[in-house]
Amino acid sequence: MANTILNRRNFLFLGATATVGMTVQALQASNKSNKKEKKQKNITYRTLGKTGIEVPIISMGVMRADNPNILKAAYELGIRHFDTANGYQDGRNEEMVGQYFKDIPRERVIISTKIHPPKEGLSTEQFLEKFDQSLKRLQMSYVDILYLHAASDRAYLLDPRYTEALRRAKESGKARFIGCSTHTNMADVINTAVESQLYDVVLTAYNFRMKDDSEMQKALQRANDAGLGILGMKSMAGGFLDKEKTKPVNCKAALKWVLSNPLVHTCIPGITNFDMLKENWQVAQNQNLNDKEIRDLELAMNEPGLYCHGCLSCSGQCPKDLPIPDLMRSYMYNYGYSFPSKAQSTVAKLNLSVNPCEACAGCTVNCPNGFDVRERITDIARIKMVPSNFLV
Amino acid sequence: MRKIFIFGLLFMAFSARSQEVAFPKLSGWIEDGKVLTFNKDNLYEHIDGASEFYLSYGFEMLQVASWSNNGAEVTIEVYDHADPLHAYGIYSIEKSPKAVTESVGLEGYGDVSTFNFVAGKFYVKMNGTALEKVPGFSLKAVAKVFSGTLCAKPEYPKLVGMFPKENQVSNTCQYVPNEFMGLGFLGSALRVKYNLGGEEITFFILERSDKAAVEQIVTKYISHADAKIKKPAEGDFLLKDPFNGLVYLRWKSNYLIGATGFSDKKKVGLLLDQITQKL
Repeated sequence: MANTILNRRNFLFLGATATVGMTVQALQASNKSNKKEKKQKNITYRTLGKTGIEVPIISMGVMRADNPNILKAAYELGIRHFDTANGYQDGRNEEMVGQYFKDIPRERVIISTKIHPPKEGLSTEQFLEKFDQSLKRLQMSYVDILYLHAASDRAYLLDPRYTEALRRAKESGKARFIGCSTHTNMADVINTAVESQLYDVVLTAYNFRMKDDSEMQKALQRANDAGLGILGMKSMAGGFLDKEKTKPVNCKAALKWVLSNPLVHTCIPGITNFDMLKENWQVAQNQNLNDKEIRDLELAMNEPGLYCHGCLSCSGQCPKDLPIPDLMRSYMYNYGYSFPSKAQSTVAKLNLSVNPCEACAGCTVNCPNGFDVRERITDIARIKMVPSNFLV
Repeated sequence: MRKIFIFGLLFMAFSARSQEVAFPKLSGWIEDGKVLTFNKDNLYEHIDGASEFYLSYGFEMLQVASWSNNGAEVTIEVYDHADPLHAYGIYSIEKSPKAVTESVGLEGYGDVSTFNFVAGKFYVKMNGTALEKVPGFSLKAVAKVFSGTLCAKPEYPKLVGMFPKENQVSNTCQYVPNEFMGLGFLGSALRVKYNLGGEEITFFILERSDKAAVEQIVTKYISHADAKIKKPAEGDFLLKDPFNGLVYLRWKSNYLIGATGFSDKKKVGLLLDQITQKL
């Protein structure tokens, strides 16, 4: 393990080496722009399906970074794929990416951005206007991947206004490849993307909490078989396991877990500081989980957490026909969001007794997230007794 | 058990900082259904990956209301960031470098179809489409009235006043809540760019609860920069940050001020003196 640790000296050395290499490459680029960049020997690379784009398994989500020096360090270290979006920091994020990369040979980096139509929708032309706005901010004539942002269902993913916009963007050469991003209902979205034969890549939430999600694994396999590139995000599963934020996720272990699955080709962890950058980059060298990391993940997997994922698998399980999803959501409002008035109004609408579980000796409802359903219902149902003027 | 439960709830009630806002009444406009509410864990449903950035600025709750009128539409998003400093921070980071700011709430800017402003702990983003169909309607006019209901007397964060106005680059005064300059140990800071002799130099200030907290930061920075300083004392330091280049630091009491992006340290001294005098 010791030889895989990227200490500061190595990091700086790598940076300096990469800088020298970059300068040489920049000089050569004008004459031989198609010459392939040399890969780093100790880094794992994967190819994004049929796109042919080969990148280190660690990429960078730029969304929270506000310091261009982090981009610089990431690039000099060897990261080649940088992900932003039209909406991040109201456009300032794309501007920062554009400002830094304007002096780097364009073909050396893989840049993606995303467009998210608002609730009321966008016409094809409006979608493309937003995309042009992104290109302008990025100071680029094209992006490597243009995503339809935040797909959660088939109708949105196949909305003809957006698919047409994506097609046009690709045909015009302003987007080399097109994709969709998803962090809700991921397996369905991935399957739909495969069936559509439109999308080249999918950027999906994927983390250790999905270890038993066979539908997701099948969808990833299907996407790979169809030649789609798969990029992972939300690998840290929120970063903490509890409402007090006293139980942090072992982020390096979580990232290794995702990338130990070869069906995921690269991840885009949000990198906001240099220590995080170095730690993530170590994973590009070594994806093997050590004993401690395995233990940390096992503990994390057994931690139910606060948040109801809304999978609805508890729906209909209760012999008393209690609306379990609503009650679990109410518990989340109260303890997860510190929003008891919302919890109370949700519970009040259900017209339940103060202790709806009292007639049952035990509980047969099975939550895949490990919630003790009876305990949570018993706890949250009493909120209706609290005077509402005491609640926020 | 019951007492404990109610006590717990009451405690949460008083400690929870989110509050529902009273959206303005837009005369002649039809309100479009219910006010949508998003919290820390589902903000992404509204703004996707951008939510992580908002969370780093103390985001508590988002309320969204929409109206329509003769084919025109208006949406108002009210982001509750728990305190005025964080609200100012997210506003300052998202503000366009080209924005022409106006005195709406604490400060705001926009055009015919958008208007953003900050007032107290609220960051408000207003958007309109086809507004030309409603003659005389102006988002800014709505913002002026609405901002007063959100916060009667908004004030700039105290640290903003430490920076002299002369030579400031417009719209570069920004509050960063953590990991300033990509360094975890620096934590939060306020930064401003100055144009000094054709060179854009970033000045910053960190305020901590006591001198010991700043000493800890300085010690860590010295270690980070591999500088040969055994026991730092209050005063000036010139460090070679491996990632951020040359950094000038001045430690005074519970403040750390400094500059980056300069080629000649003589350029920064005068301005640091001016800031120091205001501490």
